[in-house]
Amino acid sequence: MPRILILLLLVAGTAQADCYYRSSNISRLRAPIERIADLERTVMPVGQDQNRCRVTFRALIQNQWHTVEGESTGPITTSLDQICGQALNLGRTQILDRVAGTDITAAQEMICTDQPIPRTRDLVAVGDTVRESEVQPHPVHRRSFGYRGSECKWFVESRPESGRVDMNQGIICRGSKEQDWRVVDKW
Amino acid sequence: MIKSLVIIGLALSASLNVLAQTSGSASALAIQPMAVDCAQAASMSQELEAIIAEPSKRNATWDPTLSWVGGINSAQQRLASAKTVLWNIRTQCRGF
Repeated sequence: MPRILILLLLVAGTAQADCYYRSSNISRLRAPIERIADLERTVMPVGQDQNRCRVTFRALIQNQWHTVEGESTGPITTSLDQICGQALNLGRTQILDRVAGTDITAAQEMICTDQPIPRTRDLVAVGDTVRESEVQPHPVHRRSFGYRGSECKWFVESRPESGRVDMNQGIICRGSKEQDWRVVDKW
Repeated sequence: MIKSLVIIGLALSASLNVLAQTSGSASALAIQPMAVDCAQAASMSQELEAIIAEPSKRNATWDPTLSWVGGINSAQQRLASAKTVLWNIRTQCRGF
């Protein structure tokens, strides 16, 4: 199935169900990308002698997940891994410029895509299959650990509720597919 | 007997502590780092799994520790605290 990615800087009209607004606020604070997750790449030929690689991924910066795209084109003699690596680096640079750069500006753009877009979910349940970036990383247990032969990670879930904040902790473990994680416990 | 758990990392951010202290589900201590004596991991895991299976049942050995981790020692708090400690064991000690 052809993948469609359309970036619209100025959009009028009604948003489709598979479109979303991406807002960015650029602050003076510099911060590293703590984690990259849910990396997807799309490769397509350009003319007779070039390939284009477009990557989308989620980047964790200052405990917030951001959706990032990067694109790079190279000759067919260059390996796809190399072209996609360049696309990844471009995406990393751009998101750092936006989120952790030195200027203060705000921008909003609409992205339409037929790829599933990971978003942080308000609530997950034990047994759910999620992307890593759909849950918030645990502030203390940041590293993954092995449990019954699977790679697992802690997460937290918080929601404000009439003057107080409910906070849950939970565990996700990697499923059979590379991008899939299963919620194995939550309390 | 207080089990061999040591809460470390008191330097967590103030916002984190405030968030946790106002929580209905997790206390400030419950989300702080917890050092586990892995030599006792097998027996502790077994006991904690029993508490998780039946959280309303009092446990004289574990209740002080669970109360310390999770605050008020209701069945729900005991369950949450037991899971916190058990997953800390599974995180830090291989094979549990």
